[in-house]
Amino acid sequence: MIVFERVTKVFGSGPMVVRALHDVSFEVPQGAFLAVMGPSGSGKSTLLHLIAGITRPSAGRVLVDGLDVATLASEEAAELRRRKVGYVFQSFNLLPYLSVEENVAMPLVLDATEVQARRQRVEKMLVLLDLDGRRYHAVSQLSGGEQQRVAIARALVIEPRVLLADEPTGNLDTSASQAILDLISRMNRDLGVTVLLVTHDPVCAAYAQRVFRLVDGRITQTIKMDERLDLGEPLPVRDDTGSS
Amino acid sequence: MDRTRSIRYGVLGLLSRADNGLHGWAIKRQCERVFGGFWQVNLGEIYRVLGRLKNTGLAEHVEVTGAPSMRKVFRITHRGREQLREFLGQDPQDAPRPLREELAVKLLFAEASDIEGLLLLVERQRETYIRHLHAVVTHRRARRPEWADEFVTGLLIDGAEMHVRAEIAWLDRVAARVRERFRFS
Repeated sequence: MIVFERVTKVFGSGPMVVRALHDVSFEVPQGAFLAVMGPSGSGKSTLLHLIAGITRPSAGRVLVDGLDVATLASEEAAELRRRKVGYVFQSFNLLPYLSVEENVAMPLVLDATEVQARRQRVEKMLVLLDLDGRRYHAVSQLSGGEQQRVAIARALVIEPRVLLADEPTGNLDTSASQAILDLISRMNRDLGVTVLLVTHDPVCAAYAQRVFRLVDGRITQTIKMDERLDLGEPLPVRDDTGSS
Repeated sequence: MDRTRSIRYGVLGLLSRADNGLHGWAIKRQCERVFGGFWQVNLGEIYRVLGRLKNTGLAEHVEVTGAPSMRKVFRITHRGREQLREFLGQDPQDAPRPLREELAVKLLFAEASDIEGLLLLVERQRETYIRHLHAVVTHRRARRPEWADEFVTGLLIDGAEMHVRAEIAWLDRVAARVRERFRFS
C-alpha cells in the first residue's frame, strides 16, 4: 500500500521557490491501478519520485508498504528501488549496447542475485512479455514499442510491489501505446503489482481503475471507474437464429 | 445520419450477414458487441424496426423449427439487399458534431459569481468523458481477432477515443480561459 499524508514538496527557496506538491493526501491499496493526470509542471513526476525515494517530502509522510520513505538512509532508499519499486520512463532509459536479456537482468546483477535465480526470473519476464525471440538483440535495434516492453520487463524482474510509469507511451505511436497500456493492465491484474501511472493523456489514464487530476500540485478531482463493466462473450455472427 | 436511419440500416446490414436469419435479441447482442456503448438500442426499438422492414418488403419472417415460440426470426429479402447496397454507395449524411451547447449558453451568461459553479460543471463533464473512455478502452481490450466485426469495432473505438480526447482538450481550454478571464484560482 502507498500512503501520502499531507505531503508538500517545495524546490528552491526565497523568491525562486517552486511548490511542486501542496498538501496532498491519498491511499493506494496493494494491487490497485491509479493514473495521475495533469498538465506539464503539475507535479506528476515529483509524486513518483517521492514514492521511489529519489526525492524527499518538504512536509508530510510518504509510506510504501508501511516504510516511511523520508526516514530511509540513502542505501535503504536504493534498496527500496532495487527490490520493491519498478520504474518505467517515457524515454525507456535502457543501456543501448547491451542485449535485451542483459538489460532485463541488470537490476538483479546490481542486487547480486544468485545466478540461477537470476536466469529463471529473466527467462520468466522474457516469455511473459513476448521478448524471448529478441533476447540477443541489442536494444538499439528494436522499435520504440519493443524497447518499452524491455523497460517494463526490467522493472518487473525484481518482482516489485509497485510499478511506477512516467508517461510510458509518450514516445510511442498509437498502436504501440495501446499494446503497452494493455500490457501494464495485464501485469497489474495477473501479478497483483500496484501501478501508478502518470500521464497528460486521458486515453492513457482511462486504463486505470482510479484517476487523480493534479493541477498546480493539488489533487483537484478523483474519478473512480465502473468496476462492473462487463462486455460479455463473443457471439456468433452467421448462425444466431435461436434454433440451436 | 439520424438515429432511425442508422438503426434501420444497421439491422438490415446484420440480417444481410445471417443466411438463416436473426431474432431481435441476437441483433441486440451483436449491436452491443460491435458498437459497445456507442449505440445503445433497446429490444422494443429493434422489433419495431424489424416490423417496418417486413412491412416494406425488405425483410421477411422465417419459421425456424425448434426455435422458442416467443422469438421471431427475420431474414433479409432480395429487395432488402438491393436497398442496403444502394445505401452503402450513398454519401454519408452525418453533420459535424454540435458544440457543447448547454455549456456554451452557460458561459455566455455567466457572471464572476457563477464561475466556481461553471468550473465544477466542466469537471463533471470531464469526469463523464473519462468514465466513457474507460468503457471504450475496456471494450478495446475485450476484442478478439476472430470476431467477424473486429475490424469495424476497432475503427469505431479509434474514432471514439479521438472524439473524447478532443472534447477533454476543449474542456481543459475552457477551464483555463475562464480562470484567466475571471482571475479565478
